[in-house]
Amino acid sequence: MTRDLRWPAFVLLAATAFALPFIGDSYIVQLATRMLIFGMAALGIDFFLAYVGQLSLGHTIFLASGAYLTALLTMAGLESALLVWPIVLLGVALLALAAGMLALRTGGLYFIMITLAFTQMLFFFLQSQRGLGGDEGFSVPQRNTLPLLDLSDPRNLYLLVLVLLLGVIGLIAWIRATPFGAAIEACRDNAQRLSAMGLDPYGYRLSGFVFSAVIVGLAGILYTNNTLYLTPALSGWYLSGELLMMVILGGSGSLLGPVLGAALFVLLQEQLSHITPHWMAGLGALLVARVMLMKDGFWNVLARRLGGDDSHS
Amino acid sequence: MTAILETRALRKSFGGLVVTRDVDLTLEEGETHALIGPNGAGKTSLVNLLSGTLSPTAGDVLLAGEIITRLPSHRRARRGLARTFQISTLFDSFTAEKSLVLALLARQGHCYRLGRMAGFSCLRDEARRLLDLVGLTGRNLVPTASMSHGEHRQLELALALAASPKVMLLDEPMAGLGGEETAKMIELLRSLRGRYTILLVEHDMDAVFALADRISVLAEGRLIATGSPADIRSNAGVRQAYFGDDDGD
Repeated sequence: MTRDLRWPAFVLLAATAFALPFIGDSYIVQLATRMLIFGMAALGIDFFLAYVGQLSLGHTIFLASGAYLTALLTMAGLESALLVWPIVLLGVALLALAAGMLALRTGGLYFIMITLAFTQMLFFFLQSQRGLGGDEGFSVPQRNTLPLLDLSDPRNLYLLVLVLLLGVIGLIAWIRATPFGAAIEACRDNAQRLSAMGLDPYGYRLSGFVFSAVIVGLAGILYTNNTLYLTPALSGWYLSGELLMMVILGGSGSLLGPVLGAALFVLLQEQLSHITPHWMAGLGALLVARVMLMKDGFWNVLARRLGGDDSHS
Repeated sequence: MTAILETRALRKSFGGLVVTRDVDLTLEEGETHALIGPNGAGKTSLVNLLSGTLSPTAGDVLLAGEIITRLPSHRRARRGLARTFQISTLFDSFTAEKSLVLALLARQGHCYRLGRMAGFSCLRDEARRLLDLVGLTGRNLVPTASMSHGEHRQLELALALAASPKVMLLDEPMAGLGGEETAKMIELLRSLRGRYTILLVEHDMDAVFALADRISVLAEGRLIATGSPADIRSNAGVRQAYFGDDDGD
């Protein structure tokens, strides 16, 4: 038996991530912030995919609504993150509750189509808003403010995003260890058995949906603070597809897989687009190779090498 | 004896196909009641109507005297109606112990709890006792997906027992089991006799006659006879419908 090296690997990764703003230049810090934000969004989507067991193409509505609500509140004069962020998260949760109550009445393919329809509705709504720059989007004048941390410094924003991401990872790990998390995964495995035990699968699916949406919404808040520029593409199905690619690259159903998949995706997007405008082709080839040659995402494969049979670290 | 589970003129049709025809079935408290009938007689449909997986076209289902016809299956389960499935219906990614702890927690009606699952050590002990009872001693930490078919049948029964049910609907608990496994399952069900009210749907006639206090016979969706094993053996209509015209079984 070899020792379980997954924890040391995780600690090493986290330590590198914390050291990054002190060794990298501002370009690298910006890029890394983007990786972490998409990593968080991918984690949110993967919570729904891996544990609730359903594919959603609609989670970009929570990314976009988190981002747009943050921008609009900031532009309306509310700058404090301690005020704006909870309001936005609550708004996203309510939106997810309403969307989930409708969409989760269906399942499988119908569910995917409904969530796709939601993203398109929001996309065209945002696109038609002349005041928000239509297709072109609009810029947000400033970041939110925190009492002790100056977010206008990109390094501070990066560190905050990193801490929040680690918090989300911890939260997911904790939920999975509770009866609530077990009931959610039980619906995925066998909803009929869950009802035969006296539990209503609908409620657990719905709360899993809202929970995953709130994580994506938090990524949206951070997205606005990072880029200070929003376009309707943020709510498009295209981005939903990209987020799923990140999950598939890194590995679904693990805590680090989606984050590392997102990091790889953002890195390749950035590097390949310097070389060729047809960078998507390169990424596509990589995705095909991953699906054809590997049984699981690269992190999950690596995690099994590092120790243990499960991929839950 | 009092009736604990009852159907009144229960009927289910899918378009022109009637799978349950005006069935009046009564389960007395504490009895083991076998439900037999040829393939396609509507036995599983009747179990699904009782458990709430199907809703009837007409008629009523009563549990302990209360009408539960319109209740969804999870609400019926909460009132003490547990079931097993003909085709094992389990949580494949869970260990047997985790499935059972969840089932034990479900007795409280919900699992919106945020303590650690591993913290419920008394439930873990209870889960292990149930596993011992159904013959899965030492298999508590094996993932369900890597258990054998026979073990799945045992776990199905353990999950039903975990609910401390008033009534258990057992849909072919012996389905697909080998000779020795069947004998063990019969022994197990015999040990539960009298402690639970059981509706036993079963093809294995040895098992049925060994276990049942009363037997009901279903043919083409209709209840054609109910009686003691001896009555059913000698009932001409049953022989006609079920065993064919010959005199053998």
